[in-house]
Amino acid sequence: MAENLDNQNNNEQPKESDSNYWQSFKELYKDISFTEAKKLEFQKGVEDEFDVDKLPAVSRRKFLALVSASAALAAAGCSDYNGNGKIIPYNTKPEEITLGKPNYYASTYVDNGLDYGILIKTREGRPIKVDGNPDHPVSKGKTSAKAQSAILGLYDPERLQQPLRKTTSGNFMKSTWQHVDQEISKSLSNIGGKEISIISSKIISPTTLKVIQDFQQKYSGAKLYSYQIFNEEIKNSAWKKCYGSGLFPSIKWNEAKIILALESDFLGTDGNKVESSRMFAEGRNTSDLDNFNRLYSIEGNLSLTGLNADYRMRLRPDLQFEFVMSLVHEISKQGISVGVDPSILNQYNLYDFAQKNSLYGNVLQLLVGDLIKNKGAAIIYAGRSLPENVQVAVNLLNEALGNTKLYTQDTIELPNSSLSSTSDWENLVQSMNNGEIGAIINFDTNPVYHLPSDLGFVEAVKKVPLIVSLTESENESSELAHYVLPISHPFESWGDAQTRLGYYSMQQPVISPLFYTRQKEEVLLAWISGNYKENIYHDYLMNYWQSTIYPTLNEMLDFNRFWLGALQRGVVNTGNIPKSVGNFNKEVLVILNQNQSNISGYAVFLKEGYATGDGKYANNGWLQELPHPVTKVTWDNYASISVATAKQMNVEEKDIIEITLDDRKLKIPVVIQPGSADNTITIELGYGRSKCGVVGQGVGFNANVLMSKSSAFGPWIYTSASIRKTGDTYDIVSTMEHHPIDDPLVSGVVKERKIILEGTVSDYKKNPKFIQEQRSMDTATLYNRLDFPGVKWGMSIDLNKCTGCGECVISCNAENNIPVVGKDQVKVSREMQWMRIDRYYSGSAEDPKVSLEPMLCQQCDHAPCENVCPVAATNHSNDGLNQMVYNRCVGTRYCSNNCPYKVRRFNFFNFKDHFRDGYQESNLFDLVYNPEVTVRSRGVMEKCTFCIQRIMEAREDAIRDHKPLKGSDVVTACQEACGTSAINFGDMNDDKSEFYKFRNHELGYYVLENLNVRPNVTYLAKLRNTHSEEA
Amino acid sequence: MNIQKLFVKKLERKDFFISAGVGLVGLFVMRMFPFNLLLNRKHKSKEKPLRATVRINPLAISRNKLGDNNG
Amino acid sequence: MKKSLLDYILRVRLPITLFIIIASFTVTYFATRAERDNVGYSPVQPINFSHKLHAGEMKIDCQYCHTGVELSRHAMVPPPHTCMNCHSIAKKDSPEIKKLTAYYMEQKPIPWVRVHKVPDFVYFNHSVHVNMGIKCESCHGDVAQMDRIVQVHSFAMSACLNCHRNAKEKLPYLKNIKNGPENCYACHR
Repeated sequence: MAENLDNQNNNEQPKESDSNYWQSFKELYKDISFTEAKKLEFQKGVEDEFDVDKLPAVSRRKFLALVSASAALAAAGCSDYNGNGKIIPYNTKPEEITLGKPNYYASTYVDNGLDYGILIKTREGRPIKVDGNPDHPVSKGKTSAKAQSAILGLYDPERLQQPLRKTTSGNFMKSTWQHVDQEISKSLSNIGGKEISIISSKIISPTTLKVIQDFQQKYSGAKLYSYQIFNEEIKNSAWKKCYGSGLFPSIKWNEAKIILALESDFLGTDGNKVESSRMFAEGRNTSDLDNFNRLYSIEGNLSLTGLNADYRMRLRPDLQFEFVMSLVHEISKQGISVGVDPSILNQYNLYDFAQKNSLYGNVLQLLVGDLIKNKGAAIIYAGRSLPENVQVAVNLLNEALGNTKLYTQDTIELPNSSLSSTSDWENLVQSMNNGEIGAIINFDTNPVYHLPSDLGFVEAVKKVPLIVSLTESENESSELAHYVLPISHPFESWGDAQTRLGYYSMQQPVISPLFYTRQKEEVLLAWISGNYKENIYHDYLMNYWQSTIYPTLNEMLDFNRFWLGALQRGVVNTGNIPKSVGNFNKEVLVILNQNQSNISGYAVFLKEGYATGDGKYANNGWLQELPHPVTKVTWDNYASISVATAKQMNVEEKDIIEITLDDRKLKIPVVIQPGSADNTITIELGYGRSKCGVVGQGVGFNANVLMSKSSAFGPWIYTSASIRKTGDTYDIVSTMEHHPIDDPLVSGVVKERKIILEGTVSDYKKNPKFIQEQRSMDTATLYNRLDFPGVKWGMSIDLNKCTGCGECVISCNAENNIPVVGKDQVKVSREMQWMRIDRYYSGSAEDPKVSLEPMLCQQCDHAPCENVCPVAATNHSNDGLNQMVYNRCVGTRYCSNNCPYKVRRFNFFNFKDHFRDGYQESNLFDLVYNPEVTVRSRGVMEKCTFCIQRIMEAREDAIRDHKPLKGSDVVTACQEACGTSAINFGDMNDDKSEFYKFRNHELGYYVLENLNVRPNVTYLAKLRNTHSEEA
Repeated sequence: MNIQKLFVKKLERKDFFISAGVGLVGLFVMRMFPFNLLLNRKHKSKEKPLRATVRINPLAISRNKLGDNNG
Repeated sequence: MKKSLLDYILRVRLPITLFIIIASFTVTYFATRAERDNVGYSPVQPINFSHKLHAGEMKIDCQYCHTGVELSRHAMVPPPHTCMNCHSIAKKDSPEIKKLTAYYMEQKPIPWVRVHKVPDFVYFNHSVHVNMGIKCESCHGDVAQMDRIVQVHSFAMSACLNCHRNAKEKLPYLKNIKNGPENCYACHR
């Protein structure tokens, strides 16, 4: 309806609302074409070019369908399947190799002037494990943690692989042996009248000594200097003064009923620990209580020996002389004639001394009583760090008490091989400064790092025109050298050693040198003879033996047969009997007449590192990660001080202090050590290396700076130190919390929960069942009692014999391919060691008692970990083991959550890759792995398997020999390494076996027994041999 | 229209079987072609070769572990 | 209309669907046979060594070459050295022996293509089985009749357990055979 809008009155609104909406005039005026167009869907002309027949045959839809189908088919078609790989056999199989079976070689490992007899296990020509040589009369089948870890040095990816020569710009350039031999021989021949100084460590090999003598003949200016940072020089010199000749003898620890260890860590780093701990443990048999020894330890810091002492007192090391003299006085008062002028003795009084220095008078009384009662079967042993006057006094005391019966005078030193004295070094430095030294040859030594800074060695050596460093890997000394010559690892080298009268120890290589290296003796031989041929030192060694040593042996075999037997056995017995101890020279006693020195300030005691030795092992991941036996600290050294001293200094754990001795300063963090003497600071050396390889570089603090060439108390004990608190802190990582539990509410938890049960020898004598009475009763269980017909494996750990040295841990690491994780991961408790040694303090914080407990997977019969695994990756075998199947594990970690002993370790990272940017991923490092054990990757749980690979090997041998499998056929890695034979392993169903006795021992208990998990590791309670009047 | 649709349908069926047949043939062809030859080479060249040889020293004498236990 | 649609579905679509399902299943079964249990795998070897000739016609004992099988975990493929024991003289000029001699002279090992393999996490022990009296044929088939080695037995875990659990049935030639271990640690350390 067309409205006439013009007709609208301007003043009037329209009457109805207009609902006619229009968009254009065409619509409004109802255009016909518009109305027609409205009926059509599309406008005219739109479809003009659209022709169905002209469309392409493949639509978008079809195209997509085709593409996806072809992709799917192609994917189904290609395969990454390269079959089962290849089998690459030998071209010519060496006769001695049976693929899959190990070979053993006897050899010797030399460390710090001692020879350790070792058996190296090789697989397909690669050494993978080191254990003790049972034929070695001192080692007797056991070896030290350092020898075990030495294998990492062989496969160190940063080992020097070819000779290096320093260019004029100061960088090292790779070279060849021919080239360096030529150049160095020329320089040495043209040395003129100058001296050639060979700096070596203590030489215990007669053949090496001969090589050096030959060198000295060829080059007349050659002179040998030797040093060992930790040595027995003071002891030996005191002995010579007392007895006229010879060296300090070996001690028959196993025959000693009373042992007084003065600042002596004879179970740890002082002397031949393998022999000492074995002999010590022989005197701690729970089946022979009458011959149970008693150990008194008086020392400045809690050491490994102190952990095992029955009585322990704290005394700063610079007061030891006064103490010993007081003891001498007291003993002479009891009627023993000591032969010292009474006027000297009267200056000392034992109980006054005790009072002044907070020692326990009653314990000292017992000590004196014991020493006198056990005359001739006791030993007072002064540590090697103590000064000469103490050593003389102790020798006197032993002589007076008749304890010389326990000496075996069989220690010897090769002629002309004694260590250089301080004056020798001072002369050398002076000569270097005067330009009188033509060449320095570092014969596998690192004097720049080791020697005391006040000798001035580092500045002087830079003036020498020719410095040659023979070393396995780069170190601080090789940085200053002009030629760095790589030497072969001990496992690639020939050698021999003699430290005692009765035997020679042979060293043979188990693998040809992996790289372009030579043995250090070979390097010298090449310069002596002018030309080098392969095996030059082997021939030289054989010649020397044939001409010089073999004739003295009165052997019945001809030399060649003898030689083969010597190498096979690893030891040659000489049949020489020990000499008798001489007579005590009374004139030496004048040394005891001295004024008491002024003891003030703090005492600083420098000790050998348990892990790093003198620094040689700083680059060894296993040793760095081995928790310190006392503090359980890894990857660092620290200043160890007592609780009271910390309060006095106003420092807390991890605070950094600055120690000043004269003008030598060191900044080092603090660890508060229960059981440390007051005002004594103990620091371990061997850390803070500035150039040693990526593992050890910068780890710890270099305390060598505190050493001085001259000190009143010897190179390791210093007095009058001053301390300054710096205010900085440093993170020290320990695997165990070590602040002592002195909160009375929780102080009994270890005993309440039956984690540790212990007693005294007198308790045991009175009531043999006293441990059994403390055990929980056998409680009821929901599960059916599992039957284990056949073999059922179990382990027992005798806590009387366990000294806490940690060798079992290292052996387990080597056997089971356990990765090193590094400090940052240990901090969050991710260390991967399957075995750990728990250390519990009890008693007061100043003078605690210490209990040790090695902890490993207990292989529980009712294992709480087995129930909770969602994928059944861990379950129980029919021979009593808790099985961990790595390929099933998805990484839930519920099992570790449920484990009451917390012995399960999870691979949070692929630690091989994670540690030090894949250091353990290198091809060379892979050679160290045990091929019988899976190398685990990220995401799987692992734990002690009771060395299932060894059990399977024993089973295989039993089936091959058609014999039944016996429990004693299997020796686990930890059992094999334990120097005191504290660990026993076997079949608990075999009631005739040795192990059965341990499993059902009167002193046997289980840890956390009341949880009813039925563990299979029996612990034999530790008995302290205290007097029965004591509480 | 019906016949057209039928022919279209027949063509579709034909196309289906052709493409299926080509797919199957392609499957077997692909299986014979070893693709792994191409892939692994680039990866392997980056790994540093071990220039050490493991060789027993011919002059060394081996032994048996002593029969009785060490422990 | 509805009836013919149903008819169409049942007569055309259903069989085609079923056919596709069955065909893909069958194809996948055979195509992945190699990766699953390896039965029928018979790769070409670098040297055309015929067990049929050596072990079958000449009756050379398995353990003459595969020496490790009684002593250790590994059966050990012999080095060319063992072959040269005879072939330094026997059939010196045949082309395959020439290949063998070339490998031996160049001090290179022969890169055999492996046929029988268990996964890396399985620690199979040959000597335990052989010392119990189990014959090589029980697992490796009648090798003496094989020109080129083919795997006849599945090496999946189910196959191993089958024999471990029913030892008397599977190995009738052994009178006193006991069942093998079933626990995980026997093979998966």
